[in-house]
Amino acid sequence: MTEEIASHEEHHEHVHPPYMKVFFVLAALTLVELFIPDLIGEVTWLSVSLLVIIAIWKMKLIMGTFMHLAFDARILLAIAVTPAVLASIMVLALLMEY
Amino acid sequence: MSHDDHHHELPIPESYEGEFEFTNGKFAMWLFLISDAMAFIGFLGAYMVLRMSTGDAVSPTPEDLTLAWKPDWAPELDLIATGLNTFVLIISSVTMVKALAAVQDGHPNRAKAFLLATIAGGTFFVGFQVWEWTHLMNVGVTMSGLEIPEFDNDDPHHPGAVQRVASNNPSRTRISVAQELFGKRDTSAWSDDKRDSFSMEEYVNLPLAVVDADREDLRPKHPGVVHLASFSVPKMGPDEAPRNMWDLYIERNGDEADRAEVLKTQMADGARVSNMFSGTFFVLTGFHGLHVLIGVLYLWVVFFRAKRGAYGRTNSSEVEIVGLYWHFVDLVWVLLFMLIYLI
Repeated sequence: MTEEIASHEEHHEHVHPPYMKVFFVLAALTLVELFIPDLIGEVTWLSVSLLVIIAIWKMKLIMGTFMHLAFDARILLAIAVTPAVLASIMVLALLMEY
Repeated sequence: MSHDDHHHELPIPESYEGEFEFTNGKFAMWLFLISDAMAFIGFLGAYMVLRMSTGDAVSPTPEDLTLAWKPDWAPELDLIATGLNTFVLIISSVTMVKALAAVQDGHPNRAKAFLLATIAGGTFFVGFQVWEWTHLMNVGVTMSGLEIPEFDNDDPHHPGAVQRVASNNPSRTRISVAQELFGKRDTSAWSDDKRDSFSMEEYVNLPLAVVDADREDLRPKHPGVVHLASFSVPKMGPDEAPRNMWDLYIERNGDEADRAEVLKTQMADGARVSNMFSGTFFVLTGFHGLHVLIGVLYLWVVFFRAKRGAYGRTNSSEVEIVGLYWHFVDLVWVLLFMLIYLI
């Protein structure tokens, strides 16, 4: 199995993740983000939720494709997600406080 | 490491099967990145606390001015320009992965070109931030606070003018603001003048008062900087509690009209107030900008190693590792851009 993949790679180009596709999605999401403050006007729970969802979406794309977490060993994904879990706990605690 | 002997023909294997799926360097970079992420998360937590506890006081009273997140007269951030800069950072992330792909495909020249493009993107990003910081400082936004705009120094009837000091007069605070701003002046020249109000300009043109060497409290502590203390009013009578300048303004004018206007006019041009928005802005964008700058230097190192032919099809790990760092910087910017510019 290992040798099969190795010999396969020697004769063909390395198979790359869909980098350009992710780039266009990131660019489009950033464009949408830029219009949200003007569209919604003031800071509301709706605008904040939309922006947070888009930001998490963008971060997922960057981490999954550009940083190869979608294709790498699961242990790296576990390492990378750890601060996100801690940050979520902190944000939840702060939101409950205010 | 007992499986190493199966792979000894590869100096740094690109990928492993089974338990060896990444290089030590990549593992170490991930460990560094999560600790760095925790540092950013600490800053973001502080930012959240400060922002949520200040609220959007649009037209704050002088007393709660330093507690306002961002007064409505504060200069605006340029959302479109920074949006374009964000695009540049995204593009540099793509050129980074393209550089890695070129190394993995065995195209060293293409890889070097993409590395240079990434360096150019990062340099542009930092350059834009230098421009943005310079612009903000020019319009009075610094880490220590905001400059209070629009004060007419020449008008003696202006609300911010220096009034004659009478022992029971609330306008006494104005002369203490003037003192704080420009130092204690000798007002004896005004004794023959019949007017009861003088412009700040006139005050500044008075000679400096001769201050007793041991009366440190009469010296301006920070010329040009108005502190909250400047707004406290001395006791009016023996049983009276000190009041703030805003209460006195209401008392005298009976008008809630436009607090921001009052605020603007009550202080001299160049007066500053401390402000949470400007402080956190420079800390967050500065810490991120430093990361971009280090990333650019790191990319130069990788570029020169690539030029010496250090990387190839089976040996692209170092390029991937610098990529991880670079994408992390992009990742953090996604959060910062949203929190600082969009919300």
